Amino acid sequence: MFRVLRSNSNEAAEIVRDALVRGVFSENPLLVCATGLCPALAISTTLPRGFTLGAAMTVALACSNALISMLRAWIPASVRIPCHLVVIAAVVTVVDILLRSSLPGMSDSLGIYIPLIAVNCVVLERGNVFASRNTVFHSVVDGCVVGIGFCLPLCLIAGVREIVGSGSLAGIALLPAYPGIEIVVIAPGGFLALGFAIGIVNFVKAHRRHRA
Amino acid sequence: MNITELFELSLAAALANNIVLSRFLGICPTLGVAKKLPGATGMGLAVTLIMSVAAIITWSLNVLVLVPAGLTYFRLLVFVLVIAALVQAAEIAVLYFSPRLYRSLGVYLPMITTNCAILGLTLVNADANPVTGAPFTSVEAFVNGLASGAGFLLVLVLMAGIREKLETADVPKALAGTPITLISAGLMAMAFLAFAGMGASW
Repeated sequence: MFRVLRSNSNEAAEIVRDALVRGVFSENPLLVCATGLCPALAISTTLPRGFTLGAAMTVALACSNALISMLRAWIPASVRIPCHLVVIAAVVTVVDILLRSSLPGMSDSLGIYIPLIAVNCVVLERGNVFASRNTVFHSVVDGCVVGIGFCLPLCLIAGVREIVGSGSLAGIALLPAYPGIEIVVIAPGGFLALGFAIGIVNFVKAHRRHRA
Repeated sequence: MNITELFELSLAAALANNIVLSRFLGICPTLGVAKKLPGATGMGLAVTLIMSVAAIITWSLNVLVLVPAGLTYFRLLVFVLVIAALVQAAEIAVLYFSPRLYRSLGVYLPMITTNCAILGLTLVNADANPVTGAPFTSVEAFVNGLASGAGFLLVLVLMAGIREKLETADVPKALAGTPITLISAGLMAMAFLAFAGMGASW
């Protein structure tokens, strides 16, 4: 019995590790697949905002993946997408209410971008492609790692934008005499930051391929 | 609601608070679909139509059903379902009236369901009108939808033109594809900042 338990936990660890590499590096939703960009561009103005949205996205992904995986035997193929939309909208509504009650200031600042997680391409794609065909454990792990893969570049871009744009990080002034470059913090900065981030990732990938 | 306020609202919705370049909604179709001019125009018009109709229906449901019954936590669910149903109806209508348009739009028509722009606009209509400070009336909601769709169409057409030019340009390899499109969008957003004084910010 102990051998069965140990082999199961080994297998579980391997699933988690493979999923982590896939979700964060090789199939990163933001930098490699370039899906679900809408909230990423709007939210990444300061580090706390970026992290809150990333965390909310991870929670919503894990829960919706779990639910869709649990219900996958009962959802007919012809109405799969609307059913998934309903499940995800319900999960995001709960996440939104929880966030509004626990962090009201941050929730006001994030505005409509938390409810918009419901139609985020990443959440729908993971539910449709992965969770509807795999076990609950696989789906929850996949949801968590894709969420982490979304949250990490978001925090990185948000941090860079906040430092370059206003000389502070998470509200703590790092460079006191810094006048601040406003354009990085508002609309165009998001496009430019994400464009250059994906460009850097492409450059690193091509460089590694060239070396290997 | 007078004509001046409606005009101010439509200018703000189309240009100053442009739904793509200012509110960052509807980026995925802008980057994915807007490669050729005719496709971009078709997509933009489809989104404008669906956005206007969705604005009316969701506003009615919100103001006449959800708010009086105190069920505002169902708002997201109801809005998503209404938009999905509308897109399905639009797909059937396009297939019936013009199969050629249906074939040229291809997979992009069902994809409008997951377009953040439409859901984002309906959620904005549920808040207060930035021009008057009061909640949106039905006409203001419709004008908001129509004008935001027009702004979306404008950006899509501009982006398609730029991408057609970019195909023959000498772009660094690391920036080819999505990055250069995003950088172009960033420069366009900078240009659209010139409209910032025209409307009340949201």
